Amino acid sequence: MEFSQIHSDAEAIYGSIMKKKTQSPPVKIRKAPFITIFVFLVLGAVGISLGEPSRVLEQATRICLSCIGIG
Amino acid sequence: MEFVRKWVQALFFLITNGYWNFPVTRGIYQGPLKVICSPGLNCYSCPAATSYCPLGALQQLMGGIRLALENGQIYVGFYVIGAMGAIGGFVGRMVCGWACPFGLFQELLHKIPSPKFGIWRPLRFIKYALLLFMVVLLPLFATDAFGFGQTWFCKYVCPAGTLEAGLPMLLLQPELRASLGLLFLNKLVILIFFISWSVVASRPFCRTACPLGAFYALFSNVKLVKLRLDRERCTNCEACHTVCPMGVHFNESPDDMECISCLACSKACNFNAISLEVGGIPLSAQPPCRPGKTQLQ
Repeated sequence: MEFSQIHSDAEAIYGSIMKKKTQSPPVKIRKAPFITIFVFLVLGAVGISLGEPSRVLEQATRICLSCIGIG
Repeated sequence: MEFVRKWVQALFFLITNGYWNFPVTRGIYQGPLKVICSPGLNCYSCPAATSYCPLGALQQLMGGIRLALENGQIYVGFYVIGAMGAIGGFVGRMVCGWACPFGLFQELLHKIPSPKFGIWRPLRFIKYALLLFMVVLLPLFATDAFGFGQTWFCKYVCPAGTLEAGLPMLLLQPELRASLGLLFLNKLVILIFFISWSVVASRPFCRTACPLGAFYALFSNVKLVKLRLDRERCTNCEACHTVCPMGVHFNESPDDMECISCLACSKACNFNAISLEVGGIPLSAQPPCRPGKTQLQ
């Protein structure tokens, strides 16, 4: 095999490798975050239906002195 | 990006502490906004606080479960856990880097010129123990004669509560000073300890003792917004090791539970190997390499 043939083959192989390397990988959308967020939003909605926000509001609007180390 | 992050931190600080009428009322905000969950650690007994602290609310609910169930009320914390989990699922510990007032406070303290030290990495497990025992198990099971559990973490540890609520309330209501005791002294010592530590080490409370950070860290593999490492570009030059405020070796563990997505590593990377992604989609197309920089082989 002639040197020029070997050289052109090598260039072709190098070119294909570089092309593969510079090509951005296909974007794969992760499903786990959406499932996680959905599950917790449902959980929150259940909490709302049970009336928990009023309980949270009641606690948050009262100063709990022992909770902050006073008394 | 650091400039933007500081502004976002300041914005969140002002949003979650937006009640500036407290010097007049000498009390805390009692309006309807307090039904909204603060993403970061922000004591709801702080006079300026406009939202509830997820850790405080969770402990209150855990402590009150037994009593509530006995009274036929199903208050088991779904609303609070749902809000915390949704935030965790969206951004995870990005909250620590971008939205936590106490994180901002520690960062500012760390700017004080002094010798700087690292933090022994196994200490990070303390925060998981605090989350399990002082936020969940003790409020749930160590109940008083009436069946009500205490807010153990708030009462005995939380330095954010002492700084944002304890000290301001003592200034606003001088009559409270008569009831100070060992409990407050203990909390004051913890606050001074973390303030001093923050000057010489980066974010010591976040890294060792914050149960909220520990909770959000549980979402490090499934959060929507996260940093991604392009292994093709990474040369393992370890530039990301030296700039990380949380001691993360990003090129070795891109899903590290300690990562707060502050983007310091992304800025430091000369090879654009670190970028932000949303649900697997990169937010920006990265150029091959920064101009003027030589790619290591």
